[in-house]
Amino acid sequence: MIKTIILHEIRQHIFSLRLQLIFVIIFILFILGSVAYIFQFKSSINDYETFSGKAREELLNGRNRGLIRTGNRNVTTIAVENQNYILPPLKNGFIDDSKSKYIPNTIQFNAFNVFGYSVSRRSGNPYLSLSQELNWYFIVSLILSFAILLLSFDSVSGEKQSQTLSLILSNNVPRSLLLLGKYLSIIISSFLMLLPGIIAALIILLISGTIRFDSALLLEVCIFVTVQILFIACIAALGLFCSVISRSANISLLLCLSLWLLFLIFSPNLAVFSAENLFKIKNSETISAEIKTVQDAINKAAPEGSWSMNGGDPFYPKHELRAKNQTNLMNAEKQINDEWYNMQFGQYNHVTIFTCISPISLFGLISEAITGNGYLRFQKNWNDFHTFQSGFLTWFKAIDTNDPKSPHWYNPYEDCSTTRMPLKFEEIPIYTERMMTIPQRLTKALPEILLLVFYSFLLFGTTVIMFNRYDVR
Amino acid sequence: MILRIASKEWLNNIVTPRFITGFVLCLLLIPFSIVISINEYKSKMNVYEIEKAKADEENKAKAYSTYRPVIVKKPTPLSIFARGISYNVGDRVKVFFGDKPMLSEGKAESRDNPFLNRFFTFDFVSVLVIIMSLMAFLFTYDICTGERESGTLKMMLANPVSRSAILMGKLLGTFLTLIPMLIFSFGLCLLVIILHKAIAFSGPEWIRIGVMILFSVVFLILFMIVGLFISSRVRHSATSIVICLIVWVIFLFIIPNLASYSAKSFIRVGSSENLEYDINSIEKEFQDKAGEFSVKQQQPDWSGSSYYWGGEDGFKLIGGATKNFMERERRINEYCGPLLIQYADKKWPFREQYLHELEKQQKLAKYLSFLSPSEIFKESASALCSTNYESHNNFLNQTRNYRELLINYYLKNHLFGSFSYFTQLDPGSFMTADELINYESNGLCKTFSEFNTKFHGDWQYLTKIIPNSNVFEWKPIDMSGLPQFEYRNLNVLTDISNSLIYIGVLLGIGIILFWLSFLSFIQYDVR
Repeated sequence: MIKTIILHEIRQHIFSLRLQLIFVIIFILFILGSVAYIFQFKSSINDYETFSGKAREELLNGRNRGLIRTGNRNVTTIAVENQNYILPPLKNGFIDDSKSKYIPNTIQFNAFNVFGYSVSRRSGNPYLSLSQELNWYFIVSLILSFAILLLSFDSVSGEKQSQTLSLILSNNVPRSLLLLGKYLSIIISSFLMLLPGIIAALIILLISGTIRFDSALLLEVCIFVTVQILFIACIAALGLFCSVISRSANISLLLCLSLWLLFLIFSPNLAVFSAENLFKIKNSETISAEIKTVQDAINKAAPEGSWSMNGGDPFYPKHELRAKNQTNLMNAEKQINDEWYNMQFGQYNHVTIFTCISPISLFGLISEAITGNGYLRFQKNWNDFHTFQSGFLTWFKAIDTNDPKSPHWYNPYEDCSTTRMPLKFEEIPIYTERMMTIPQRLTKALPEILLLVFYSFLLFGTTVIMFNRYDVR
Repeated sequence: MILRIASKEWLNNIVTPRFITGFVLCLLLIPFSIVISINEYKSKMNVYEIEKAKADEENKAKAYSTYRPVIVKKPTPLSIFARGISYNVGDRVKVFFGDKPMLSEGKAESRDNPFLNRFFTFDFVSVLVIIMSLMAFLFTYDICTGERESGTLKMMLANPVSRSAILMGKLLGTFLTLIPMLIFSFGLCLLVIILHKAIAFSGPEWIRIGVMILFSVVFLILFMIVGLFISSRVRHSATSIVICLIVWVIFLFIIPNLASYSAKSFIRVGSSENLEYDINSIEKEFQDKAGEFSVKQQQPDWSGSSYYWGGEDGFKLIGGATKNFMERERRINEYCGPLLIQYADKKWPFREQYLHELEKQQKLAKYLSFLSPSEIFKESASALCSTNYESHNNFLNQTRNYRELLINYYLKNHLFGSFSYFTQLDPGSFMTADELINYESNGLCKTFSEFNTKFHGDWQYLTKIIPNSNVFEWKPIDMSGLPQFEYRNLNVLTDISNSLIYIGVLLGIGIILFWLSFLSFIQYDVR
């Protein structure tokens, strides 16, 4: 029985104008998006490689910026040099880039400290207004969700208006079964709308050869497609719900549209609003003022001669004071900054909870976790960087300890009182990013996935109850 | 007759759920976006105040070599309405001689937590555009089809009314239904702003707001006509609404993102970091040349100076050095000052190329997005609010022109080759090495060679300091005679006439579509 209903409904959907129109749009978007992505990925990889090549060269030969020229590279200069690590572009960006261009993607560090992070817009154009990338997430979350609502808003109220609902129900078919059939048929036809686009995009990406498809990437694609079905199910349930609570198709449509707009506009606005009003944190100006106060106090309390330096003699006694003072300054700054960074992480985490009321944002969080991109990627690297930095320091101290020409007074910023051994370039520790494994990502995404499933059940359950009482006349 | 139809249509519309939905959507979405924009503006203002105070401090120069004025642009409160690009770019420009201003600096993000950039919030104009266009479609999609389906169109046409009168009447009625919503949105927005006492608009700004309201009326009419056109081409309301909504999604959500994504992908812009690496090699050439020149200069009789403070871009302050040393420094400055400017011109083509690429990308994105009328309206709104690219570019160009003006002043008055370029001491008071040593050692050594043999050049015997030679204690000199930067915002009229082009395009499309829908309606099969 249910099979008949589903087949009938799907046939009806496929022959409807809306499905055909949206199918064409989605298909075109997939193709355009993939072609554009190939271009963008190529140039960003290119830029990234040029940049990191030059940065390495600079690390080896010293930098030449302004009037400051640092020659004489040795182990200490490498250890104390403030380096930038920029997160490389990911090849799964065609699924979802999680706006990683707009959130911090650069980490500053040396052997003594991980200083902080910033947003590097490598090839970003400040003159372009903010816009979403044309990736799969965009197509599914925005266009497809709209399409699903458009398919489902009149599945009950529309049939009631055209009087066919009472006819159907005069047959020997339970109401919930009929609703389930409609529900499944919406899910299936929405998925059918998407599938050719996804296949075409994959073919284009494969043919271009720019992106190397390995098993991990294919797995990501599969998981994304699976989760996407959950998302479709949730939005379809929402559409049916709107259809069931009203008696005319017009009102269900209005409801659908309003909810869609609320989810789309309200949720990011609410996030920023609550960040500014409920979870307010200090601003950068306050933080720099705080750091300055503390550092001034340290400098004031520092014993006489803490700023003396003799470039020629590492054992110049005041270097010990200098090293101590610099370390104190660094630690004070680090403490304030780390606290502030934690506030930022905390604020972001709090605020994202608010966005979970919107299935569209929820799907965004899931897709971010699955692709291992965005905030989660940054967090992982941020944590890994602290491990890397302590390794870097251990490496440096090991070399320093074996150098009799060094007084071992560790100064985090300057090359004056530690080893001046020449250096082999290959030996410099280099950070390599370790992506989150698929199980780790799924664990991260699990609460959101469960919430999405819960929403679907809740909405569909309510719909069933309401449909059982629906006045079909 | 038209009025009667209009009033009937109006009465019909205002009791519909869509009318109420429109208000509810406005009420839910607009205050939020306004409050966020106000917060963003406030934090931008806060940054401005801090930067301004810093700039005022930095602009107090002790000699001409250290005068490299910092310019800070004040953010406009109109950015609350249309954000434009104002939150992507900083507002600070430091005028260097060794480099032309390329992009403005300063804290661009208005949010203190960079992770919040993940949430793309919508500003007032975006929300307004989304809601009003949706409402325009929802009220017009059934303008022809609705009454045909209910059979009343036939009856209406049986009366002695022309079809054009019916069409005009219906359109007018719908317009009158939507106008309260538009006014309500603006009213709500202005109310929230006025309740926030921190923001005050000036006279010309009120004019801009007024013009923006007028433009939004044009925009509303255009979307109504698009809806009318679709309605006049199809026979069923169900088809009409589907087409309207799909057109809506295309205009509002697909085209803007598609335009900027394709511009980003298909026009390649090098990275700014790599640009800096290229420019570094030119910088190095300059340093080599400057170094070469100073090596060739005659060595001073004594290269010691009580106070020497050097920095970037020719920054140099010297006090308590020999006449000979000062003269050598003067000659170096005379050569290096203009050389610095020459090298700035050498660097400029690279920077200009980069800027040109950025502009090309921006232009392509803009023109592609003009496929959507809502984007045309948004562009005109940000032009009115002085937050668009042109307005920012105008500011940057002004800073570049100002730099030329300042340089010309320096060249004309031979400041690079003057002593006042790097010292506040009177050139007549400069001494030879022997005189200086005699003075500073308080008569312990009569000559420089005596100082070297007797004290091995140890500075601790030089106890007496030449009066007023401590560069750190110098008072800032008066720079008011120099050209001062004054930001001239584009005139209200220029901005309005610039955005009139956009509105003209909108009107043109509107008229063509209206004419087409009129033709369709004349031939419309009312059965």
